[in-house]
Amino acid sequence: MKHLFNLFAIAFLLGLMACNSDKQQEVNVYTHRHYDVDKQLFNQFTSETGIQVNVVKASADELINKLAQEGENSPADLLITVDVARLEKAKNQGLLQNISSTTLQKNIPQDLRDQAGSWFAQTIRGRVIAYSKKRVDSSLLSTYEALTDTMWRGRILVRSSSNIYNQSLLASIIEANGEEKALEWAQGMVANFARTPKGNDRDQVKAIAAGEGDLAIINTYYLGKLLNSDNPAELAAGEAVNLFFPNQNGRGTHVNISGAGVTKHAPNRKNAVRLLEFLSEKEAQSVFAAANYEYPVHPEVAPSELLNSWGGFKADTESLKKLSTHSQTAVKLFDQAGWQ
Amino acid sequence: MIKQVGNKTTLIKTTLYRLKKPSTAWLFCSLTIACCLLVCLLPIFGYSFNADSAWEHLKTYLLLNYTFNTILLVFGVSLGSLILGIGNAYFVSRYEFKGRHVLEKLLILPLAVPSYLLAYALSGFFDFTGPFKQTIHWLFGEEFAQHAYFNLQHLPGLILIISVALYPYIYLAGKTTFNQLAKQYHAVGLSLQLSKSKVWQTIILPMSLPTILSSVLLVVMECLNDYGASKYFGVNTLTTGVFRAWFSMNSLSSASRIAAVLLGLVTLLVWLKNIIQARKKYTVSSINNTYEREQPSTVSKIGIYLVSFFPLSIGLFIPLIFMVYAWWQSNMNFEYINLFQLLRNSFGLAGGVAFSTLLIAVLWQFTGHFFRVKKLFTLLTRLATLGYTIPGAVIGIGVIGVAAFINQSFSWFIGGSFLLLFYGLIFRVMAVAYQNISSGFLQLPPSTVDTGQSLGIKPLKMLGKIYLPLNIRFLTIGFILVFIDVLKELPLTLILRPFNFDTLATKTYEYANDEMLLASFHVAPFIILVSMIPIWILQKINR
Repeated sequence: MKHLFNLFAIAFLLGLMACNSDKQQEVNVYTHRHYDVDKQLFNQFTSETGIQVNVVKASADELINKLAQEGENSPADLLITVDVARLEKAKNQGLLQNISSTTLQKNIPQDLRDQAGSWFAQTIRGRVIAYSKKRVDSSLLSTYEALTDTMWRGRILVRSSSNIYNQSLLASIIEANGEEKALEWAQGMVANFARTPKGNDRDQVKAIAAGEGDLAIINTYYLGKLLNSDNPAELAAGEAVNLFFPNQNGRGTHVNISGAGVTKHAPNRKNAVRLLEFLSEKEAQSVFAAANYEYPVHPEVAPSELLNSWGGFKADTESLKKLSTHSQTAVKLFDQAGWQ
Repeated sequence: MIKQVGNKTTLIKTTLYRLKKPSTAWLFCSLTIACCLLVCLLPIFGYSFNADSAWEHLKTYLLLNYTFNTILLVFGVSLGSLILGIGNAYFVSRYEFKGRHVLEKLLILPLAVPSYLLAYALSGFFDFTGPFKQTIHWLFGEEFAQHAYFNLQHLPGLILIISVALYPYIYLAGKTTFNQLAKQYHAVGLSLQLSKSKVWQTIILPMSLPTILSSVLLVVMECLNDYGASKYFGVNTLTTGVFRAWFSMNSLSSASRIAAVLLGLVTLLVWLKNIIQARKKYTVSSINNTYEREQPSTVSKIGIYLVSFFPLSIGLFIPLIFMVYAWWQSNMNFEYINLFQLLRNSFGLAGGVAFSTLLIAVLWQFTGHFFRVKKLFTLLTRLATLGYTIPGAVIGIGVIGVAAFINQSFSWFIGGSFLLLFYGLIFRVMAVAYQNISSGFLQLPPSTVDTGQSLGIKPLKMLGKIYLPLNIRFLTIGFILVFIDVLKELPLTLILRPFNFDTLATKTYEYANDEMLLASFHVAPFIILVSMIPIWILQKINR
């Protein structure tokens, strides 16, 4: 028995020690991004400022839940997500605080940050159409809406509706066309599916290369990763497709952001703002663009060479802030339409 | 058994006396721990009472499909892993053939490969850009290779993968009991003029049923907890439903309700298993006769090699080959300095949790067995093992809920500490240790306990001198299974871990989830390697 108690006592003390060990300057980050480029940037931040960056990585929803539960005692200073709707969700739950920083205002365009300053975009990613170079005439492509045309029957590939990128895409269609039309769109898409939704975005591109379908909806940077893969077969799959940026004559291509907000009870608020500013500067922005094939938010930083080769495009940034109001409706519409 | 002492009242008095004195401290300790663990279910049930519109939506559109898929998955995986597990255990226990010693050990190893990793690896191996197609291309030319790829991303594919990932649980349990029973009853059976096949069919196989059932139950629970592989394959189950309700629909209450349904399902299964087990009570004596394995016929031999080679190639060789291939092909600059840290974290976490879990399981089982406390005690401890059935992330909600409560009531902040991570993980994997210890204690002859008690041996001594040494095998298996489970565990570790704490599993998952499969293969082999150490120890002890 004694041993048991001792063991628990030790575990307990270890736990407490883990809580308050560091007295050094630090900033605590809850992030959904797992990319190595983030770590690289955090290290650079530490070496420039002496501020240690502590990181917990998990899905945005889990982190938001964690933040809410921890309340005033939360050690987190910064919340980073890869979906604007999640940032808005955190904001609406009162988990973020407003930051006014001239650097951030200067570096990040107005439509890519919250009006009150509760969140700021770090990068942009477009959700676009990848099409088979061999089997699709790009002149037939125009909008997301046109994908429901019967000529695409059995030819469209896309991942599951549990994916947040799809949910935000449908939310943007709800915003543009209303719920009824959005449901019709989802139903039309399901009718045109080449197979039941499965796999990730890269898998959709591979399926085009394999001839399982001709069109896929994917995020831009995944093609970037395929085209820079060490695996020659993946490279070949990436080269089998081209990207099309839909809705150029209308509201623009649906984009989402990866962004961050300072938490309501941030114990290291100053450091968090400093990190945010650091990530919005030209240098960090070009690292994001080069390493992860994401579009930078800083107006003066050019996208990477590969992204430039796909050409500039009109992005639907206007609906960004409204996506969160439709995200739950979007999930329900997906279910009604039978989009698994 | 208590000796019949003339009239009934004396019997009751003796029993009461025996229960009263020595068990209080043990009982108190056991119950306190059980309650502490159970507390983290409260927030989940708490949430499930707030109904919202999401539940109606789930009921209308999704629940039927989710339940149907879940039933098919559980049924398929039970059957698949039973065939692979029992088949192989039976072959290596009954027959002597070339390579048996190696096969016997190798067959456990797929246990080291997490199901989500297997899903990524196999699907990647056979897909359009995978090494399988490339090899065919290289060997036979482009024309032949054109259709040389398989899509595994569907329900049957998922059943295959989870079966292969989980059959070692059944194989291990089967092998241990088969060996033990064969040593005892093989000679007895033969002396009764039974044929060798009859000995196995009528004595050994039926007698091993309780242990096998326990392991099947573990497989079912593990299968119900799978999230990563199902999600990647686009198969919607009740478990993925929990996440859809919680994350996509922002409805914690619906998520908790689905979790409660899952809990109910497993409670039902546990209850069924106990009914079957209760009817098949038997004990094992410590007699160790040697027994000689038979030589299989040529047909059986082919069967044996096929049955063992199939799960080995899918569950171990192909993933390993793919990983080596990825290493060889990838130019990624992997920071191997971090590897030491990952190894240390994984090892420490898995070892610590396995040790604590085993301690608690032994405490419970011993208290229950030695003092013969029934009903309420059994119920409580059994409830406290339900963590295994609840998706890790849901336990996460519970644990964070408890931490929040402590935080608010005592303004004592424990979020983001190892304490919570340990707490969550112990609750999550309790069942593995509990079932194993239970299998061992079930086989202890009651006469041993009686003798000990009548000699007035103190409980602690009894535990140290009799219970533990006689069950060293089950203890080791328990420790190893928990160790490996924690090593592979993902959602709970992801959500409850302190700052800057990465394990092999979390790192592998992060890469794979970001669609950087090849990068994840820099870390993944170490999960397998680290798991092999305890498996190796197991082999040593089993010999």
